[in-house]
Amino acid sequence: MKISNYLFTILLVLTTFVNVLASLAIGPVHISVGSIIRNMYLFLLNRDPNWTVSTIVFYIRLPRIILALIIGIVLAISGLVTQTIFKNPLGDPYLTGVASGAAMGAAIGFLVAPFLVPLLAFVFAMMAVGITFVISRSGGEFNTEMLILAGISVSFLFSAVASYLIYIKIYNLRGVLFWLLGGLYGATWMDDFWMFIAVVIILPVIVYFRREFDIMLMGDEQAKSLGVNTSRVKSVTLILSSLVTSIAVSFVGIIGFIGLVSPHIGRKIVGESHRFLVIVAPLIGANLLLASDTIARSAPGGEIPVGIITAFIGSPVLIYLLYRRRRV
Amino acid sequence: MIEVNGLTVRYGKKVALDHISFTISDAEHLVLMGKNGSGKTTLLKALLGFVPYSGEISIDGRSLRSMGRREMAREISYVPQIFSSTYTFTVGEFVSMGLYSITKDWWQNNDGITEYLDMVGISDLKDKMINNLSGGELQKAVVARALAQDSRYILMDEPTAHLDIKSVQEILDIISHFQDKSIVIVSHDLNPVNKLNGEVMLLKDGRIIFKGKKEDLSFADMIRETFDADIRKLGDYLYFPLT
Repeated sequence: MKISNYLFTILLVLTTFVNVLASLAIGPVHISVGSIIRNMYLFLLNRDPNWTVSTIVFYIRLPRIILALIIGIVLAISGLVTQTIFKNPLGDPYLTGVASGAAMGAAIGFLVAPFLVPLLAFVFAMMAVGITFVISRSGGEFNTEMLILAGISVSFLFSAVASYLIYIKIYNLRGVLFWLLGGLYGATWMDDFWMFIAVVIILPVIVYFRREFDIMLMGDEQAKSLGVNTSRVKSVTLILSSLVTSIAVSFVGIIGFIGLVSPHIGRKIVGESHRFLVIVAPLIGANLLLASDTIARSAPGGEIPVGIITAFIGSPVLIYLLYRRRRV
Repeated sequence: MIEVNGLTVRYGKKVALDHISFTISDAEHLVLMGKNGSGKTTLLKALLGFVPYSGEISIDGRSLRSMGRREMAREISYVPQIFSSTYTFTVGEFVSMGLYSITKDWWQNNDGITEYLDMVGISDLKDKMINNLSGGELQKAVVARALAQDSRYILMDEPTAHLDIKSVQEILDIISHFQDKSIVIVSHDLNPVNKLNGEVMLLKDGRIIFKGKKEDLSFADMIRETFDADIRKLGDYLYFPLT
C-alpha cells in the first residue's frame, strides 16, 4: 500500500507536466508540443526564438497556467484543512465566509472603481472571516460547531449585501457574474509571484502539522489526551488557510468545487492519513484547476468562467465517490 | 500521586462537581461509580483538562494548569468510549498515535507498539482497518493506544459498556494485570468492581459519598445510596441461576 502511494504521487507529478504541456499547446493559436519545447530552449538561452510563439507561451499561457496550478494548490490545501479541522466531508475553503465577504467587496468595487475589486474583495473576505472567528472563539479555542454556524450566518449577511448592491446598482451583470464564478483571464507573472508567496506561507505549515491532523481526526478530546495542542493547530491552520484563500479569491474570483473535491479524490486513492494527503490533495487541485481552465478558455464562442467548468467536472466526480462509498 | 483539592466544575448555573477532594496513589486501581449525571464523567474530563475548573489538581505536587498538552499526556492517558470508527487507519497506525507525546514522528515507529499489541492480545490485527473491528477489538485497540502512551495514570470512561459478556471479561482481565499503573475506571456497571482489586469511589450529585476498599462497602447500601435503586428488584434481572 505504501509503495503504491509513492508511485501515485510520482504519477501525479508527471501528470502535472503533461497537463502543463497540453495547456501550453491548446488555445486559439495551436502550437505543437515540439515547437513549444524548442522555443523554450531557444528563449531561455536567448538564441533568437520564434517571437510569436515565445510571446504566447511566456507572456500569455505560461503565467496563466502557473496561476491555475498555484490557485488549485491553495484551494485544495484550504479545503483539506477545513475538512480535517471540522471533521466534516462537506468542508470547503469558503466555509468561514471568505466567498461572500469577497463577493460583497467585489460588488462595492464594481460600483466605486473596478480597479479596486481585488483589494476590496480581499479586505471584505478577511472581514467576514474575522467576524466568524470572533463569534466562534470560546475559552481561547475555536468551537468547530460554532464556526460552521457562524460561518453560514456571516455568509448569508455578506451575500445579502452583495446581492442587494448587484441587483439595485450594477448594470454590468455579466462582468460581475464572471468575477463571481471565477476566471484566470489576464494572469501576469506578477500575480504568480504574489500567489507563490501565499503558497510558500501555507504549504510548509500544513505539511508540518500532518502528524497532528491524523490524530485530530479522532476528535478533539482524544487528540488532546494524546498530547496534541489542538487549539494551536486549529488557530494557526484555519487563520492561515483563510488568509491565503482570501488572497486567491481576490486574484481570480470565487472558484468553486476544487477545494471540496480535491481532498476527497486524494483520500480515495492514498487513504485518510495526511502524510500523503498534504502533498497529493494540492497536486490534484492544481491539475483539476489547470485542466478546467484550459477547457474554459478554449470554449467555443469565447472564454467562459472557470467556476462553471470546475462544477461540471467536480460534481460528477463527487457523486461517483459517494456512490462508491455507499456500495462499500 | 494525583491530588485533587476542592475541585468544582460548573456548567452555567449547574454545579456538576462540588468542592471534591481525594487522591489517587501510584498503582492504585480505582472504580468510580455513580448514576447518570452524578458527575463522574465530568471528574474524568477535569482530570484530563477538558473542562475549566476551580480548585486544584496536581500530579506529584505540580499543578495540572502549569502543564502543556504533551506534558500532561506523558502523565495521564485516556481510554474514551468509542463505539465505532469511520476512519481508515490500520490498528497499527491507530495504536501508534499513543506515541505522539513521546515522539512526534509516531507513525515511523511502527515497531515500538508491538509490545502493547501483545499485551492486549491483538497483534494479529495490526494491519486490519479500525473501521472493520468489532466493539471488543476496538476497545482493546484503544487500551493498547493508552498503554503506548506509557503514562503512570490511565483514565477509562466506561470501558465495558456496549460490549458482550466475553469482551467484558477479556477487557477486565487485561486491565487487572496492569499492577504498576494507576487506573481510574468510570462505570455505572458493576462488573469492574467485582473483577478489580482496588478502591471504589461513589459519587452522588457532584459529591463523594464513599471512597475506600470495596470490602468496606455494603452492596445493598451502595445500590440504595448511589443509584437510588431498590435492591429487592435486582433479583428480577437474574434470569438464570449462577451455578
